[in-house]
Amino acid sequence: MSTSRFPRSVYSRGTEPDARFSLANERTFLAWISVGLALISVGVGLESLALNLQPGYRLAASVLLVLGGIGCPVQAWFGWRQVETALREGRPLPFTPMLVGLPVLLAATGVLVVLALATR
Amino acid sequence: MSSGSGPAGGLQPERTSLAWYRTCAALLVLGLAAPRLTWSSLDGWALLPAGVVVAGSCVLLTASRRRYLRVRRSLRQDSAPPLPDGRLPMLASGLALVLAALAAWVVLGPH
Repeated sequence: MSTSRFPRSVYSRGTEPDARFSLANERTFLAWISVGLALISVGVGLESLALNLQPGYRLAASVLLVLGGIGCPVQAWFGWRQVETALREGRPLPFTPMLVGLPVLLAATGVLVVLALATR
Repeated sequence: MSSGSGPAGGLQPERTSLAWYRTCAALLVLGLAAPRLTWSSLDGWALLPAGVVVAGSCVLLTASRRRYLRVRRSLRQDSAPPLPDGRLPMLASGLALVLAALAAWVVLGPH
């Protein structure tokens, strides 16, 4: 077993899991990164493009999206860590907070955009 | 997630490799587009975080290709891994956070 894998807090525990599960964990990680990038793209676009929207609600929507764009990479990394450790130790997989956070955030953003359109 | 009679490890490594390429491409494109939006408020400094993201995603692109080949090889030999570790995920997270910080600056900062 290699001793130089990062982070050691993950790889010093348990045993090597089925490679397919490790790879699936990686893909999940990359999916969260992609979602985060998509959120910040929309958030910046909303604020930067010359759209006919009420400025206050529009800014609020953009801020929410950018916050999501920060939360997703954080979830990506810590989720990857926790799942990899759980796979190595044969434990059940941990809960993913952003799976609740993301729909709530998107719903709230949708409401704000509707308000921005309705009150322009 | 069946492996059937296909290549060693099934199609998982290829899927993962493609996911890495997709993410690297997205990071690269956003890194290249960032200076357009941040130049008005940051002048030349806009090139610094954008450059970090562009350089980082190039590193990520080449490293994830090597990672894919290593995974394929270790699965085929069925010998003791080690499979790749958390270094590239950490780099990818960091680059995404840099872009998120730039986005926060564009949305909330001076225009």
